[in-house]
Amino acid sequence: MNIFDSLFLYIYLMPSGLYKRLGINIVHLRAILMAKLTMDNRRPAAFQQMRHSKEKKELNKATLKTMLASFFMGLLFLFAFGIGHDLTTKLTLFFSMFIFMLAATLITDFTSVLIDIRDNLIILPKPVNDSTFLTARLLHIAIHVNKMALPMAFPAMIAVILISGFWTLIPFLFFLLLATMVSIFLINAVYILILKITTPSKFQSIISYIQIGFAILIYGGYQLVPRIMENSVMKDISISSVQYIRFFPPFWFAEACNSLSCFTFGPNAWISTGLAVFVPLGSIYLVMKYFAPAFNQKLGLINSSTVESNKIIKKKQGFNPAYSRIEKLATMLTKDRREYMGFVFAWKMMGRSREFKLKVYPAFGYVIVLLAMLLLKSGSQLFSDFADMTSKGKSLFLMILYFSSFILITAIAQLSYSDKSKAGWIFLTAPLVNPGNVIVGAVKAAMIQFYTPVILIFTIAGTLIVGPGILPNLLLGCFNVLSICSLIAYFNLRELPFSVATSEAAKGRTVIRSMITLIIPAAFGFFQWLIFDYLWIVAIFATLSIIATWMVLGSIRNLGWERLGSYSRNNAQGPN
Amino acid sequence: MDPIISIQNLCKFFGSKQVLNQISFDIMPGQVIGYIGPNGAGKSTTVKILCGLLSDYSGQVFIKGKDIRENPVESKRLIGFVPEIAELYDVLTPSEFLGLIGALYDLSPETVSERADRMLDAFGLAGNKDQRMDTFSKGMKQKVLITSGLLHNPDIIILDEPLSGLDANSVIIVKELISKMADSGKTIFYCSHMMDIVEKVSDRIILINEGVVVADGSFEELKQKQGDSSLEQIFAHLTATTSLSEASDKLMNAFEN
Repeated sequence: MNIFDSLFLYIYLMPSGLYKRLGINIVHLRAILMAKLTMDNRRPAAFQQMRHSKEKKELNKATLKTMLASFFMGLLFLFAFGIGHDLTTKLTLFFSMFIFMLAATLITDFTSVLIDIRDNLIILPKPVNDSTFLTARLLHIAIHVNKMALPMAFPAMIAVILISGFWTLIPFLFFLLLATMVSIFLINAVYILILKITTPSKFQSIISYIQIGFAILIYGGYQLVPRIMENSVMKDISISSVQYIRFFPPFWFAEACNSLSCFTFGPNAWISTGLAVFVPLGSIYLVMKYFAPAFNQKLGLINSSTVESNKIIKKKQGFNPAYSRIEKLATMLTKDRREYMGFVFAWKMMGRSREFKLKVYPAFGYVIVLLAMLLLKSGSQLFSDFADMTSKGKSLFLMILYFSSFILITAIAQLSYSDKSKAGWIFLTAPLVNPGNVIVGAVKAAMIQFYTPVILIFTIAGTLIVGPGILPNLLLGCFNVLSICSLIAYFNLRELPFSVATSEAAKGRTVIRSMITLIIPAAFGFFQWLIFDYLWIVAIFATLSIIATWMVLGSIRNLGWERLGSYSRNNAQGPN
Repeated sequence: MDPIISIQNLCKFFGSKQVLNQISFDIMPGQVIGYIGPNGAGKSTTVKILCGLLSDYSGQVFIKGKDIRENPVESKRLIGFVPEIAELYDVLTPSEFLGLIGALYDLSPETVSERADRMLDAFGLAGNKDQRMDTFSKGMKQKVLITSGLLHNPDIIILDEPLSGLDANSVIIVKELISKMADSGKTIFYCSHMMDIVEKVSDRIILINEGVVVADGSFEELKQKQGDSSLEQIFAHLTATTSLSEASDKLMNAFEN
């Protein structure tokens, strides 16, 4: 527990007289909330889940970190106050971002707050009455939401005071509370929707896709917002003139807040104020009355084994053509049974492990966002730059080509990690002569899964825009990326696939090392820029690059046990 | 003497599947009940009903003469439950976790910390009480779980496979603890698949199969009735649908061409 938790707990336990009259046991309530808040503090929260989950054990300040991250997100919202000439416009923008971001942030870790399945076996067998348990759950949710919403809105509070005077803060805070309710309603609506269209067992993976999309969105936001700010037209917009804006909830909050702050109410403002107050209250009533009981029931099924096992049986009966295709591909691309096994195993694990997707898929988004930035910057004659391959077109083409290696580099870097790493004993007990056989299979699987789509897009787009003349350079670029990635795999991937605990991921990968990793593609790109127009030289180097890829993969195949990190670790510890 | 636990005509359905079918038995204070049955026989469901976790059943369950459905909170106060899988909030430390459990049973913080210290010390965990449990081994977690179930000195102790993951010395400790608690008048409800231990610790064995009680009595009585020599054989005799040696033959034959 930190000072904020203690403060929230103190505030929420203040009406203890009222709680007692409702039959709530204050001692139990406090004990449950304290335990829950302590656990939250040690749980990696939404923002950290992406990058820092390796620190899981040491993460003692999760609450403070989350609050700080929310605060920085809140700073981003300040740009709303630089747009438009009236307060309603500024606030409409602010409330839209606030509601959306709060909902998006909460949606990813709301399940663990909303329902912790362990409660069923730990708290429910204890002599705790239902209303105490329910209240503990509700207050826990309230505190959790507060910890996100308050720091997120804090910069805006200061801005509101500076722009419109101290008294505006009071209606602003009031509507902030109501906007928070709308966010909670949105989350619940999304949850219900997901549960309607799919099974509870798929729920978690859909939530992680939302998480991935969210990470990309934040990244894009940080890239885009400063650019929009540069555009001076935005400063004079008035949102009230936009048609249909009256149907947009953030506008109600903004107009109501504006009217209350200057005490001028037109008929429209009355309608907005009424909607701004009653719609959130109505929606939160819906959540409490209908939504919450529905998922408590459905989410309870997430962990129930009976539902799962029935399904598995059904699946196995049907023949799945996709697998046989992968297996055919693996047979073509691998040298022996062990390599084949590594390929198929890694392919399936990459496609199914939520943790792996969560770490690697955002890389696609980052690449797309960065490409969009590059293209936006380069202006309007972009197309002709590419078609004629001017020197600008050349450098852009090479930047895109080499930057795409980021996806494969991220995938290869994650290839050894898994939260089910202990299952990796199968490789250690099996009579493998060279673990390199399995590793090279896995690397090939990563290449096919994460780089062939990129190659395909480049080939099609390149031939359409520039013409077939681009193909030798494309070939050289793609194989350079592949040989760079094989080299990185050779030097960094000293573990069997999916066999190292994620908590180990921090060790040995320093910032400098990953920076150097990104310099290599840049250097190759520069080199190709020098020889770009000499097609014969390009063709020669492309051949060399293919041979290099093939040879490096061969070296990975020959990696012996003594080169593996796990091998030296086990021997250092002695027999265990 | 009045029974401390009384179950009458207990039936429970999950959807259309009947899990418990007319289960009835009385348990006297101080008895150690070995509650056994094959996977899916309805053991866990019975335990969940006794702990007040499930209430949509038909029939009646009384704890100390009071209907558990009408007095769930009072009944829970009398019971200490050690669940099967090491379900605990493992980012907490044992001290924090036991503090939470103690508060839920309305024990004063002093009582909790004194008892917790003594019990953890007895289990050899004194040095680990302020470490987070996510680094603990399965056996260490199980010891904390047993401590949490006994902390409020309950009259009835429900143990669901309590020895899983424990080392041989700890198994001896828990086995002796069970008989000492029974001597002091506590009632033990022991669910397990380990027949040799059930055979030794229980003074009455209830065997259920497909939601029905198929045997009920002391080990000696069961032996006389069934004519088998070990509980394992009695169990197989009463619950196996196919011949077990036939099954192992099939397994061996799988290697042949």
